[in-house]
Amino acid sequence: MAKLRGRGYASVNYPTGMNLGGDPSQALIHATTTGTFVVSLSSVDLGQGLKTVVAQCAAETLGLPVENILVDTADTDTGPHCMGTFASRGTHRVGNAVIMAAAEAREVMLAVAAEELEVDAGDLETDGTGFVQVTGAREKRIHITDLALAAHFTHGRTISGRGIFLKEKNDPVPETGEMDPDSCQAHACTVAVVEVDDETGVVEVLRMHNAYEIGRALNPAMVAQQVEGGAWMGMSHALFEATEPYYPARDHGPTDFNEYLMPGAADIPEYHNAILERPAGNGPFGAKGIGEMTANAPIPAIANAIFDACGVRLDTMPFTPERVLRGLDELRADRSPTKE
Amino acid sequence: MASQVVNLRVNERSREFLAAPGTSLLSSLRDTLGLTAAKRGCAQGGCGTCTVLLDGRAVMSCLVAVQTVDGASVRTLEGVARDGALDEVQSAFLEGFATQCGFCTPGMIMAAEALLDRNPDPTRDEVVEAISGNVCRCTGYGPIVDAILDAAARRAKA
Amino acid sequence: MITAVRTPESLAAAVGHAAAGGRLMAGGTVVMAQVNSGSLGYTEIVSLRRAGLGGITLDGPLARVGATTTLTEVEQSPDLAFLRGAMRGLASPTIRNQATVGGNLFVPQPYGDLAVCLLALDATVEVTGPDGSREVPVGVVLANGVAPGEVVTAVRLAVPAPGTWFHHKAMRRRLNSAAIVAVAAVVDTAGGVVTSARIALGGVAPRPVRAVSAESVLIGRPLESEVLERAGRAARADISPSDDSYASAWYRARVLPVHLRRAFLRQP
Repeated sequence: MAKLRGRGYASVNYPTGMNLGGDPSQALIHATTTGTFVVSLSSVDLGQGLKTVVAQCAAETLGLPVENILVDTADTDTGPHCMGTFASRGTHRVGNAVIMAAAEAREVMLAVAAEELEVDAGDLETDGTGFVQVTGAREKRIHITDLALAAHFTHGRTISGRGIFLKEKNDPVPETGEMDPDSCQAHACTVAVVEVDDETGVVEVLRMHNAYEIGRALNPAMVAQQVEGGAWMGMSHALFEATEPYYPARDHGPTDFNEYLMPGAADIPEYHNAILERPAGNGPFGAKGIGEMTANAPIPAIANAIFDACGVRLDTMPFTPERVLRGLDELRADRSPTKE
Repeated sequence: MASQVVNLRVNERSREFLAAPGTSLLSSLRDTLGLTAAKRGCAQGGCGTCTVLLDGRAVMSCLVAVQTVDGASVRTLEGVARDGALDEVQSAFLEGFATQCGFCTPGMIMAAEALLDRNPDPTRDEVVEAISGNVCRCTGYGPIVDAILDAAARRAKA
Repeated sequence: MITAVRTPESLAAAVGHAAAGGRLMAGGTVVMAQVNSGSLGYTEIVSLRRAGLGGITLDGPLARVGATTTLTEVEQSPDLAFLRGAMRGLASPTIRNQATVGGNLFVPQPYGDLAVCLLALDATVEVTGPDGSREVPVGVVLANGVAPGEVVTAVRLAVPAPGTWFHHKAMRRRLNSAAIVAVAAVVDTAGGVVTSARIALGGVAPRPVRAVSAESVLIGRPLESEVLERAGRAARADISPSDDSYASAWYRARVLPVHLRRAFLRQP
C-alpha cells in the first residue's frame, strides 16, 4: 500500500477575443449634474467583475475617484451594442471602448473647467480626488460636483463621450495561412503535485503552482480569484465531472444534481500563484483577457502528474479512481513474473 | 384541502400567509414573502443555495414543507444586517473577495452564521465542514473559508 | 398534485393518516425532493415532526433513539459518541439537521449510512401500525420495509464496548458524498483473536448487507493485514454492487478488501 507522489506541468496560450465577422463593443459615458459618471453598456457582468474593471478604466481615464463611476449595464434593448462577455473578450473590448468614451468625456470636462477657471484647458490636470485644478497652482480648482452643475446649467454642455472597440474581421492569407484572429494572447503554466493511492486509484491534488502572463492585472484581487476559481474547475473536470463517464453508455451517469460530482471545500489543494505582466499594445492599459483559460492548464498538468506518480497514462477525463486503478492493474500485470 | 394559513417569525417579524399543500419554505420565502436572497438551485438539497436558519439551525429550505413548521422562527440573509450595517460575515465576504457571481453567497453566509452562532472560534476544518453542503462554482472555496475565519476574528474583537 | 400536508400531534393520529394512504415524511430530505420534482406519487403527506417521536434515552448500555431524532442530534449526543465519525461522514451538517434516524432506514444504498451502522449493531426497530406495535431486527425492516400504515417509532441498540466499534467509509470526496464502500462493525477480540464479529457493508448492494463470509474468516484469527485481506476477498460473496455515478460495480468489488482492511486497522 503506497501513496505515490508525482508532479506534472502543462502550459497554454489563450487568445483574447474572437474573429467571426468582426468583434466590436460600444460604450457611452455621461455625467449627471452632480458629477457621477454613468457608463452605459450592454455587457454582462456574470460575476467575473467586468463592472469593477470598467469602473476602474473609466475612473483612471477621467482622472476621478472610482466612487464617481456608476456602471449601468446589460439591458440589450437600450444599451450600446456589445457582442457579449465570452471568448475572454470583456476586459479587452469593453475596457478599450470605455477608455475611448472616457477620454472624450474628459476633454469636455476639461474644456468646461477651463471656461469656469478662465484658463487654457492645456493648463489643467485632475488630482484624482475629484478636483480639476491648474497645474502648478492647485488652489485654483473646481470640484467635479460644481463642474457638472455648471456644465449643465451655465454652459449648456454635456460632459459625455462615446467609445467603440472593433477587432476587425481577419481572413487567412490563402498561400501561407497567416492570419491575425485575436488581439493578443495570454499565457499560463500550471505545475500540479498529486498523490496517487496505489490500492484504490484515488488521486489527490496536493498543490498547484500557477503562473499567468496576462498583460496587465487591472484588478489583482480579481485576477487572483480567476486563477484560483479556474484551477478548482480544472481539477474538477480532470478528476470528477462527467455527464457520461463511459460514453456512449450511460452507465455511471449522474441522474440528479447530487450525483454530479465536484470536489468540495475539503478537497482543495494548496495554491501558489504568480502573475506576470507583459502589456499588450492593444489592450486597455495593456490588459489581456483571463476569463476562460484558468481551467485549462491544470487538467493536463494533473494527467502528467498522475503519469509521473504511477506510470498510468490517462487521456480521457475524468481521471477516476477506476481508470487509474485499471491502469495500475495493467502495469502490475505487465510486470508480474508469472506473465508469459 | 385548500391552502392553509401559516405563521412564521421571519427575521424577527411575525408573518402570516397562505401556502398550498406541498409548498416548500423556500417557495414561501421567495414567492410569497418576497425574500429572494435564498436561491432555488437544485430543488433536492444538494447545492445549499436555499440555506436558511430554522429555529436557529441551518436547513435546506427547499426540503422543508412550510405547513409543517407553522410557528417556527426563520432567519434569512435579509435579516443579517443590523440597521443597514453589514455584519462581520458580510463584510468579510465583501472585503475578502469571497464572492463572484454571488449565487452561492446567501447560502454560504447563512451556513457561516449558523456555525458562528454555535462555535464562535472554529478551526479551518470546522468551517470547511459547515459549508460542505454548499456548492460554489466560481471561487474554488478558499476565499470563502478565509472570509468565514476572518469574520470569526472580527466578531471576537467586537 | 399534493392535496394535503398533515402534521399530526400524536402517534395514533399519524398511524391513522398513514393507514389512509398518506406518505410518511420525517426530515423531508427524500419526500420533499420528490415533491419538488413532481414525482411523489402520493397526494397526501403525513409529517412526523410533531408526533412525539424524538428523544434519545439510555438504559445502561442500551440506547433507545426516537425515529424523528435528527442525525445532528445523534452526532452531538454524548451517549452515542461512537457514532460521531459515521455521522460526520454523512451528507452535510445542514442536511443532518433535517434528516432523521427513522428516515435513514428507507433510503436506497449508496445512501443510508446510519442504516449500515444499525445493521452492524444488530439494532431493533419499534414499529406501530393500525394493528398494534412490534419490535423487529433492523435487518428485517431493511430487507422488507414496513407494512402500509405502519410507522417506525424508534430504534434500539446496544452501545458497543470501547474499542469494538469500527467504521470506515470510502467516498469520492472528503465530505458529503455517498458510499463507494462503507464498513461498519462490532468486533470483539480476546487473547489477540476475534471472538465475535458483526460486519455490515454499505454501497455494495441495494440494501445494507451483513458480510457473513468475512465474519467467518475473522473468527479465531487476529485482526491483521493478511487475515483482513482474505476476509475482504471472501466478502465479495456477500455483495451485489451496482454501477452509479460514484463508482462501478467492478470498482466496488475490487476495492472492498482494501477498505475492509483499512476499517479494522483504523487507517484512513
